[in-house]
Amino acid sequence: MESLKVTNLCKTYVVNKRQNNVLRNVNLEIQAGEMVAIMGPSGSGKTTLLYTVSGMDDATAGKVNFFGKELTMLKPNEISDLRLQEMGFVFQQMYMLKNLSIYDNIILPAYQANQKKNRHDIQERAKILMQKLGISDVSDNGVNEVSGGQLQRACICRSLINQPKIIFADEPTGALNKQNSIEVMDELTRINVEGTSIMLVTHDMRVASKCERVLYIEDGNIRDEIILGKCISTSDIRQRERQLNEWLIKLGW
Amino acid sequence: MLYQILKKDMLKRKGVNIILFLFITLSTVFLASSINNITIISSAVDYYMDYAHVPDVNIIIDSKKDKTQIDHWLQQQKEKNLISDFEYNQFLEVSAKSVSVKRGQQKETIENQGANLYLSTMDVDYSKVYDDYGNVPIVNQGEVLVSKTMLETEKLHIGEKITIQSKGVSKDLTIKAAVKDAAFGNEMVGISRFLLNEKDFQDYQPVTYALGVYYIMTPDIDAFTELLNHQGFTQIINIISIDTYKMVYAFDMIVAGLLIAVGICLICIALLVLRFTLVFSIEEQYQEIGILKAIGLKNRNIKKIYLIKYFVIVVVGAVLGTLLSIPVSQVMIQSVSQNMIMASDELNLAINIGCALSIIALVIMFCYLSTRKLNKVSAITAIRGGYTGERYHSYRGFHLSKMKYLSVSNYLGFNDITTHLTRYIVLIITFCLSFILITVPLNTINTMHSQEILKKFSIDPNASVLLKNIEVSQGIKYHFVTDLIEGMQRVEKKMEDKGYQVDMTGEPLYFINYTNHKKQKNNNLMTLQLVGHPRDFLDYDEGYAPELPNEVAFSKDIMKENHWQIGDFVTANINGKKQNMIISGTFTDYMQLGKSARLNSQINCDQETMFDYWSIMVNVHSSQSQEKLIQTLQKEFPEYKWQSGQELADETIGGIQTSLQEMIIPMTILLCGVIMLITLLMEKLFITREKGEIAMLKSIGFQHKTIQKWQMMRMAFVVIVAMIVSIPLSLLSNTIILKPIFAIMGAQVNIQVDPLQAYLIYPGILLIGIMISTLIATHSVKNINIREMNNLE
Repeated sequence: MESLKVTNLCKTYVVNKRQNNVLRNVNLEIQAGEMVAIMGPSGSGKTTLLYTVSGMDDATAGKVNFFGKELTMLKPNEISDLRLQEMGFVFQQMYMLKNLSIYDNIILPAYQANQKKNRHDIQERAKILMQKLGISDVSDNGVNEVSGGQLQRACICRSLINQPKIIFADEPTGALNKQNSIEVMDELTRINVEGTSIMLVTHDMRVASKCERVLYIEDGNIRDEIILGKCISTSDIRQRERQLNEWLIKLGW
Repeated sequence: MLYQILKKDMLKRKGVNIILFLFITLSTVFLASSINNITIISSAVDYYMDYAHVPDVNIIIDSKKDKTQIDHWLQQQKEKNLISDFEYNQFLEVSAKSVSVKRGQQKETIENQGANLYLSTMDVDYSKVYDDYGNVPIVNQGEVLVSKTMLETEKLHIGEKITIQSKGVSKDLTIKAAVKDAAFGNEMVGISRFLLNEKDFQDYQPVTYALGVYYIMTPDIDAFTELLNHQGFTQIINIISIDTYKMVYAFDMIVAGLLIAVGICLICIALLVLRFTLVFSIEEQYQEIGILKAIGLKNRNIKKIYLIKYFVIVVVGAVLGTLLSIPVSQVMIQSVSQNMIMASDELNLAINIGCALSIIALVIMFCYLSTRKLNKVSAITAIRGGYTGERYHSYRGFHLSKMKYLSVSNYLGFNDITTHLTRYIVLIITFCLSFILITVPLNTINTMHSQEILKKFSIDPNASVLLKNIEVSQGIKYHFVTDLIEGMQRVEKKMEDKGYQVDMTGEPLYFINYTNHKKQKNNNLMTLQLVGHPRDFLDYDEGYAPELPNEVAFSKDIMKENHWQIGDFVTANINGKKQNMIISGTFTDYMQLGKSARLNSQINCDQETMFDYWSIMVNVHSSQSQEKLIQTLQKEFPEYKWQSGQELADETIGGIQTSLQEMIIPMTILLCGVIMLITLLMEKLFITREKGEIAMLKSIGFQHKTIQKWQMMRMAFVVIVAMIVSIPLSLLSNTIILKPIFAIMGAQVNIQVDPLQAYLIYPGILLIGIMISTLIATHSVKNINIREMNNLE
């Protein structure tokens, strides 16, 4: 079965001639269709891991096998293409081009990835996604004319437009209020149920509790993991949160 | 603290700072040296005219006619104090062909553009000549003095022997010195002279035709000239006032004037760029500004942080510019002092310093005004990155979804311009200015090469060739139209003998006096007549060409000055007799600066002194190209001067056309360099501003080349907008800049535009420069880290 496999991944920054080992021999595997959360204290290397695994940052050592492709062996342009066509990204800040409408921002990567494809199909797909995520009514709005939750859902639409194998989400609810956070996480969970893998970095226990598996990273290494299983209904959410909380307390969270 | 901020700021945007610094330095150099030069020239011309004792008015007369009447009238005016003094002497006229210089075994004749040359002495106290040291040189027998311009253009050398022939008198004279001849030293005046010893002059005098030259000093030039015109002296060929002599030196100021224009353009561009960078810096650092405001710093103190950097750049640039302007000013003054005597050739450093201080004051004031935005922004708005919380304005722009064929990068570039046009205004204005600047010399050259301009110079564009210097041996000048007609017939016969079928039309020029019955005003006007083969190429604005023996046409300026209308009668003094003539039409042309008359071909002017003949238009029945034909005829009939109509027009206009042509390539390079620098600067600023967005695009998988293409396409769109906008502006510049310049020569002319050249080829060259510059600037896209995404507001 295809998976994202990380082997002995190291990332070192040199700042003012001082070596800072952010990731130290990280090993992990995310199966297709799995939803994995990365948790850990600030500065533990969560975001660096996400950036390195997704090819946004170069690894100092180790291997990243992205569903059969050795990421560390690819050229920068090949990695870019891979990110465009097979990965989706959702960030804490809702990064979008201010000059473009919400709808145009969503279709932008699809137009770029499928230059020869019928643009009508892309537009149809974007409309369906927006409908699913409940932002059809703001499609023609500018980036500054929608709420944070709507904008983040638009970012999710953009990440899904090219039908990626995996979505990398960095604190996707970090800048949202409680209600918006719940809505966004519900959407991500639904997307995962539909078959898209998700790797997300979060500080929020409630967000992590919706994931199938949670990895705890500390000092650049994965210290432990907990398997919560698929979050199919909202009824067991309390139970999952409690389970996760206990595990985190045990790890010194 | 300020020093620390300054140090950090200077290093932060090195490229931008260097380019701004260069602009300020260059504009200081141009402005300081050119203003210095213009100030020096304008005061030096008056000094030189006084020093050389150039008269207020020169009256040129035909010496063959009795001058007693003029002498008597002048004496009367002296008694009435209208003139303070007058003197008279003669200039002997020889054709250029009769002056030769021995080079090796061959004798080469002087060119002087085919115009006659004059021999004179220093027997009057006016229009003196000087050597380089300001002394009046002594000419001994066997020696000759040549003006510096003549020495240069004819490539003569001091010590060289020239031979001057005139009807059997031939002398070898040694060039003793090159002199500064205030009045007649420039070919534009049209009376280029050799100064001889009086004994040598007297040897030529009995056999050579002479022009009589009066030197008149008057307290009121206009009143004197007007009164003189009323007298109707038929002996007068021409009247030249001191302003004409001064104007020749004013041409030296054109280059300085152009440099001032370039300097002003650079300053304007620098100001626009400064404003952009300042506003950009403020927007970029909104949050810092907000924090500074929140902790209680006053607006003044915050502004100081932003202004200090530009103050340092401007002061250092202006100081360096002033230092560099000193040698540049000296070179400019030196080139001017070669042609005139100056009271002092020291540069006025105060002007250079004054310019630099003005630039500093202007730029700082402008910068201060540009930071006004800071006053309006509250601390909390600044902390929010400039947003007030009001975000309800509708999205304006073109939708990607509605673009069927535009690629993403093309769309992004296009959309940037449509949504933030003001951001690109600086570039559009700069590119527009560059495109317009490049079209000015191009359109000037094209206009100078047009058929219309030939007609304005009374040259038939359809004539195969033009012929001059057909006088027989020793270059004896024709004085009557009969001589010219005989000469034309002789050449025609000669050509027929060699198998050429030709039609010739001569253009004799007379100075004829016209009076008006009602206004009683005299006009001594240069009058053109066509003789020989009939031609009807001359255009008329109103009425028709004079055809009957009693018909005449006048230029519009003459009609306006005299309040004449078509159908009015005038009395012309032709062949010594008064003849009534009717005005048949009006025209505009460049003959005698737009003030001339045209006679019909029927009227007999046999007894009227012919001042000169303009040209002989020859139609040759031949299939050869004009260039080839001229070469062939020059080979077969080397004793005459063969040329094209364009060559005659170029000669008449002077070196301007050649200078313009020579200027095109350096100007294109200079403009290209300037706009490349600006593009580099602006593109770097755009990239800095868009770091966050670029990083975001990279994060979602956009390749460098796509982002580069976006940036390139955006610049290309800016250039295209500028190109489109510059077309009507260029046409407007034709009307407000070029038309008046051409009108100075005496007539309005349609400015000729070669669309391919003016709107495609040269802007295309600039476009390539801009795109290269953008490509260089966008190279830095590669260095933008995805983590810069956090800079996205």
